[in-house]
Amino acid sequence: MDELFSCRNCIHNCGQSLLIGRGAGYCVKHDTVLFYPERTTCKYLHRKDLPRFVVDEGLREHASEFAGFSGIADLVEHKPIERLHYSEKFAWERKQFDPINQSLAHYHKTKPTWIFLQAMSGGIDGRRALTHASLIRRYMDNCGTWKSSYRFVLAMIQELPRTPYFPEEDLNSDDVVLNAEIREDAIWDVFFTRLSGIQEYGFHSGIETLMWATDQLNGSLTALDWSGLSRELNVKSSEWTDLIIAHATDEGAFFPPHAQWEDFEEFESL
Amino acid sequence: MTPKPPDYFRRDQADGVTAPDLSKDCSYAEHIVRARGKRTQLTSVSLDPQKINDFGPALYRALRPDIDGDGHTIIEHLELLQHLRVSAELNEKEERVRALQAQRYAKRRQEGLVKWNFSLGGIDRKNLISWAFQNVQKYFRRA
Repeated sequence: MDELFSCRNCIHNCGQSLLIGRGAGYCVKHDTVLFYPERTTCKYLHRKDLPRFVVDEGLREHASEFAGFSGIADLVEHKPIERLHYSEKFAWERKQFDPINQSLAHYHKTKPTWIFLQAMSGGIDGRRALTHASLIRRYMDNCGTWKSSYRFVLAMIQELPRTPYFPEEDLNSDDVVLNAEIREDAIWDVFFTRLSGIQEYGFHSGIETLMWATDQLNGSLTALDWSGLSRELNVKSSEWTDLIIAHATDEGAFFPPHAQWEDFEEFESL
Repeated sequence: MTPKPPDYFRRDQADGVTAPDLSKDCSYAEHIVRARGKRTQLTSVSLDPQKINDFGPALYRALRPDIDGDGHTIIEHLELLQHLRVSAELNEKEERVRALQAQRYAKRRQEGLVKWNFSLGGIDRKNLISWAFQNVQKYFRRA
């Protein structure tokens, strides 16, 4: 199941997951279009589906396997893949324009980048929700601190109980018969990307309750019953919001009087 | 009369089934989500060859009588799902997180597992992968 180690399952290819987003992807890390995201990878892979700290042994092994490549490589054949910068003209000419890829290609041109993250928040579009959660996770990982990310994580927690919506063309399957099943499963792709982000925030901030947020969710999660879990999340998201605000307040980081959010910008690079 | 057990399949590279890493003992959930890397002591198989296209271009059928006869074990798909469900219910922290996600993957792929029970006495650890490669091929046939 090497697809778990592909660009499809990486937070740097923000707009796709195993079940979401057809065709080409876009890697914010390498600033390149990904024509075959299920076939490519790199040593910086950061999995979407699980918090980094529960799969770190596998990620270290993978990084070692692809250490000899400076950029993207073929997952199976271990050959380098040439970097290809995004071109809007090319996308239109090939009839491959994709609004999420278009936005992501401009991510590093947005200064400060946290404005880009905030602009992605809200709404029920499933692919956009996936992109938002992935961007928050890579921002938090690059900064290496919770202090610059708590506002984004708070925003993400408010969206956790909402059911994402997927138009047919956003599901990674051409099989119309299977699409009802995949549509349901795609909700879980978004949910676990978000929840893993909350758990990674728990890791950075040292809030163990969030680090093991899965232990706070009961039967509906184990049964993968989205309707039941969604109701449970309405309660939990409120508790987790209070917890993050209380922790940030205690640490003197909750909207301090003279904070300049642009100060954090220096942390967010490639 | 006992019903015939179901067939299991594996997709892999044309030159053979990927060798398990018999030195890497891990839980079913760790194996399914690849938490400890791409090779473990287990080998994934599926009831449905259409559900595992990303495993590789070549399709193999697991030879159940040989696997069972030589003392290895097939963890049936339903048994695996039940195990993961219990693991997700009863465990905490890392193992619960992995079991939750493993349930999804195992269900989607109709996955079962082969648990190898080779006698490894006298085999040099550094040769274990190539030894395993040679020894698991006889349990699969190109379909």
